[in-house]
Amino acid sequence: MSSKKMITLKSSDGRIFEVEEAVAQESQTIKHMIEDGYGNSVIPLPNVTGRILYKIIEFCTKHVAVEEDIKQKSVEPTVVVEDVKQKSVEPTVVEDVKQKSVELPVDDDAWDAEPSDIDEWDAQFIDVDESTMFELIVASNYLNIKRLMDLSAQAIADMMKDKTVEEIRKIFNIQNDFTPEEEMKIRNENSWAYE
Amino acid sequence: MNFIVRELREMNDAMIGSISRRRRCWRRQKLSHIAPDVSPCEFECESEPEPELVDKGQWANLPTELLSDIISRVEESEASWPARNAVVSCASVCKSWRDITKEIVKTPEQCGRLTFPISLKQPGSRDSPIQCFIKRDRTASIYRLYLGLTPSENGNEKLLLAARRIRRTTRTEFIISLPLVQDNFSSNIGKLKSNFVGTKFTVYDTKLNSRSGKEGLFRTKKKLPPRSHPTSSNKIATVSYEFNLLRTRGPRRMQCVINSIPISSIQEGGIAPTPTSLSDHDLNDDEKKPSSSSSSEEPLMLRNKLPRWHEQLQCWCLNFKGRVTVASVKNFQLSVAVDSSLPNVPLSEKEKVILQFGKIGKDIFTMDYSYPLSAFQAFAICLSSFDTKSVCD
Repeated sequence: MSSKKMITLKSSDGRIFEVEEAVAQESQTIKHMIEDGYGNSVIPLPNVTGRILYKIIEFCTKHVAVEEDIKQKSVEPTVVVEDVKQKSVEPTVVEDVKQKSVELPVDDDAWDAEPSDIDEWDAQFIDVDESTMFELIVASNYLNIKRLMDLSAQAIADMMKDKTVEEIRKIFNIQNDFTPEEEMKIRNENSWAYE
Repeated sequence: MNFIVRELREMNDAMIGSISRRRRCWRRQKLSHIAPDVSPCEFECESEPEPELVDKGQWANLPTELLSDIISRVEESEASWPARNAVVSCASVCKSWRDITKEIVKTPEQCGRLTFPISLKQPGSRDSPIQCFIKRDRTASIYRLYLGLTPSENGNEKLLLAARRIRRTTRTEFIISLPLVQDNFSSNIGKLKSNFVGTKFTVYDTKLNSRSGKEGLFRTKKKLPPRSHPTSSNKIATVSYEFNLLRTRGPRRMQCVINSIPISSIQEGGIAPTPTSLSDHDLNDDEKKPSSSSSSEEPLMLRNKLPRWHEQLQCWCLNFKGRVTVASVKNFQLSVAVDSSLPNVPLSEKEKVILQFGKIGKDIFTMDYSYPLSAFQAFAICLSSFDTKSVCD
C-alpha cells in the first residue's frame, strides 16, 4: 500500500496522536478542518481529553478497517470464495457456487460475517461506565462522528429500560427539582404507568 | 501526580483502567498508531483522572439536543406497554427531562400511542382505531379497560381505566377512575349516570384534585365553567337508547350527543379539544381547545349503524371485522350522524366507525375507538351498554 497521509491531533491535556487521514475524517469536524487547510499542522481538540480521544480513535480505526474489508470483498469475489472455505479453488467451483447457491458450505454467515461481528464489537466498545459514556457522547457530538453518536445515544437510551425514576436519578446523578405539588402529581402519573 | 507519556503500552495500561479490555482489535490494526511523545521531557501531563474524580453532576450539563436525541430513542423503541413506562420515567426525573419528554411525546391522535394518563382524555388516532378490551367482574361490579387486542395468556396487559357500578334507588352510576397503585387521593376522572329506566345516560368529566375540591377552588384564579359541580365535574355527553316497539330482540337505536366535541372537529381541517392536564390546577388547559367554545357550536352526534338481517343465519349482522365474535344485543358500532347539508365533511368521515364495542367471550368485550373520541369517552359510552335494563345478554 502507498504510504498514507497522517494527521496529528492534540487532546485537551496535551497528548499527541497521529492517525491516518481516513481515520481522522470519520470526524466531520476534523474533516472540515483538513479541507480548510489545517491538515498539515497539529489540530488541537480542546474539548476532548486524551483518554477519550484514544477510545474515539480506536473506534474510528476499527470502522475504517471494516469498510475497507467490505470494499475489497465486493471488488474481488474470488477472495470471498476462498473465505467461504471451498475445498477446491478450481474455476468450476466458482460456477458451482453460482449455480448451486444452496450448497454453500456450513458457514453461510461468512457473507454477513463482518456486519454482525462489527455489531458485537460496537456493543463491547460501548460497554463502559456512565462517566465514560457521557464523555464519549459529548466528544462524538463535538467531533461530529455520527456512527459513534448514534451508538452512544442508543446505549444510554437502553439504560433507561426497566429502571425506576429513582434508579435513573442515581445512575445519572441528577437532582430532583420538582416542587412538592409537582412531585405528587408525577408520582401518581408513575403509579398509573407502573400499574 | 505527574507522569510522562512514553509508549503505547504504558498509555494502554494507564488509561483503560476499569474500562473493558479488548486486545484483539490491536492485533489487527495497522492503519493508525498512537505516536509516542516527541521527546520524553517535553510533555508532562496530569495523570489520567480516575472516573470517580470527574464531576458527578455532569449529566445535568448534557447539551439539550443530545438529551433530546436520547429521550427520542427511548420513546421510539418503547412503543408498547409495559415497556413504555420508561418514557413516563424519563418525564419524572427532573424539570428539564420532563420538558423535553413532553415535547417529544406526541398525542394519541398524532401517533396512535398512549403514554401519560392524560392520553386517556385525548382524541384517538384518525387513521386506525386504538384497540382495547373490557373485562367485567360481575361479583365486584367492576369493569376494567385494557389496552390490547384481546387478553393475553400471561396476563401482562396494560390496565387503563376502571369503573365501579353503584346501583342507587333511582339510578345507576358508574364511577370511572385511574387505577393507581397508591391511591392517596381520589383518582376519579369521570362518571356515568343513568336515568331510572336505563334509557338515558349522562357522562361527566371530573378534574383530578390533589387537595379537596374546596381548597382547589381557592387556589386557582381560573374562572370555573358555569353550572359546574364544586369538584369540577362537567357534563360532556349523553347516550340515549330507543328500543324497538315490539320489544323483540331486534336492534335498538342508540344516539350520543357529545357536548364537549364540536361538529367542526370532523370537518375538513377541524380539530377536537385536546386537554393537556387531568387536574384543574394547570392553567394551560384551554390551550388546545378550538377558538370558539364548544357550547356555542353544534355538538358532535353519533348514531349506531343499523345491522342487516341475515336471512340464512337468521340474525342481525354488522361487520365488526373480526373484533367481535359473540352475538349480543350489547354489540354496537357508532358513526357520525351527519346532516347532509353540513359542508366540508369528507365522505370517509361520514362512513367511518368511530366506536365499536362487542362481546368476544364470557365477561370480555372489545372496544375500538378513533378520533375524535378519547379512551375515557369511549369507555363511558360502552359502560352504558351494560346497564340497559330491558335487555338481557
